[in-house]
Amino acid sequence: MMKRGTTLMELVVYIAILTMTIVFVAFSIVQLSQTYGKARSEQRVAEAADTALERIVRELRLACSVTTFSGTSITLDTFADFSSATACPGGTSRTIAYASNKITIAGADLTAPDVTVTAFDFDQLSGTVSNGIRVTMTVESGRGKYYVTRSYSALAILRGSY
Amino acid sequence: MHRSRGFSIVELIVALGVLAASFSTIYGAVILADRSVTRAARRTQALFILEEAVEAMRYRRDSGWTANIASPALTLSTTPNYCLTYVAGAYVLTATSPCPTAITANVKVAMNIQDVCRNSSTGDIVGVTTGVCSGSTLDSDTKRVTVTASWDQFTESVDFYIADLFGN
Repeated sequence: MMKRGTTLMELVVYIAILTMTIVFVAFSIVQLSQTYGKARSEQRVAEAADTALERIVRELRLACSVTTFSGTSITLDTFADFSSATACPGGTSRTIAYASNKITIAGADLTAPDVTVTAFDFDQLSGTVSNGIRVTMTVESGRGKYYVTRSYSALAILRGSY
Repeated sequence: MHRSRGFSIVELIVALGVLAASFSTIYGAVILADRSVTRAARRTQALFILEEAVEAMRYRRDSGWTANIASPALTLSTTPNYCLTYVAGAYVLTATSPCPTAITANVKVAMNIQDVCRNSSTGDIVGVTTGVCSGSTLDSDTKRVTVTASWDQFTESVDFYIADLFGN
């Protein structure tokens, strides 16, 4: 009689403990997957922005003048490559453009399909000695709880414009 | 029989304790990882802005040394005394502190400029000053700029020299 009662009490305690444990573990797993998802989005955004901005800044610095300019598209008169003796001005024409949420350079995609460029803008700084281009961009990735959006800016002085 | 059952409850409590301890450790690690990822992303943003500020000072130099860099255009200081912002197509230095608005992404950029002292015979840079150079010559055509970016609770700064290349 007494033995059975103790067993029942134990059972209740066991179930309570088990429930608590399951809730705790499940909560941890949910938290873990959310952190992972968010980290992945952050990583994608940072990588895309880093690649795009570094490349754009390099291209701008290499150029000597801007042939055509709009807020979302720019065509540069630039050196063909670092080793070439091609003269600039009168060098290679290269276009960096923003359309349909991605950035392209000379027609090729600069940003990966796993991110969306929601804003992109070129600003022109024209001085007596040098010309500069300021770039601002906003990149986003993921949705819901994994959504990440970040804005970046950079300035490049056209080294060929001196 | 009775003793055995009692032992299993103690075991269970111990096991539960171990489980709780390990999960709270994992949970702590997850929180830390989450924070680190956000910090790293914010840092990437801030470093681009720091680089932008360096380039902006170069552009400012290009646009006129006397008007934009040399004293009295800028007051010398050993600590950040100007804020750099981008307003309507131009970089603007404001002498207010703390910095009112950020360039982008809530990163504040401040800067200060100092005179450069050179060794009188070799011409090597031997130090910086906001007053006079003792035992060396003050070079009025070179300045040392310190750009400081601050975001969240972090700060990062870059030192560099600019010279009056164009004599303007």
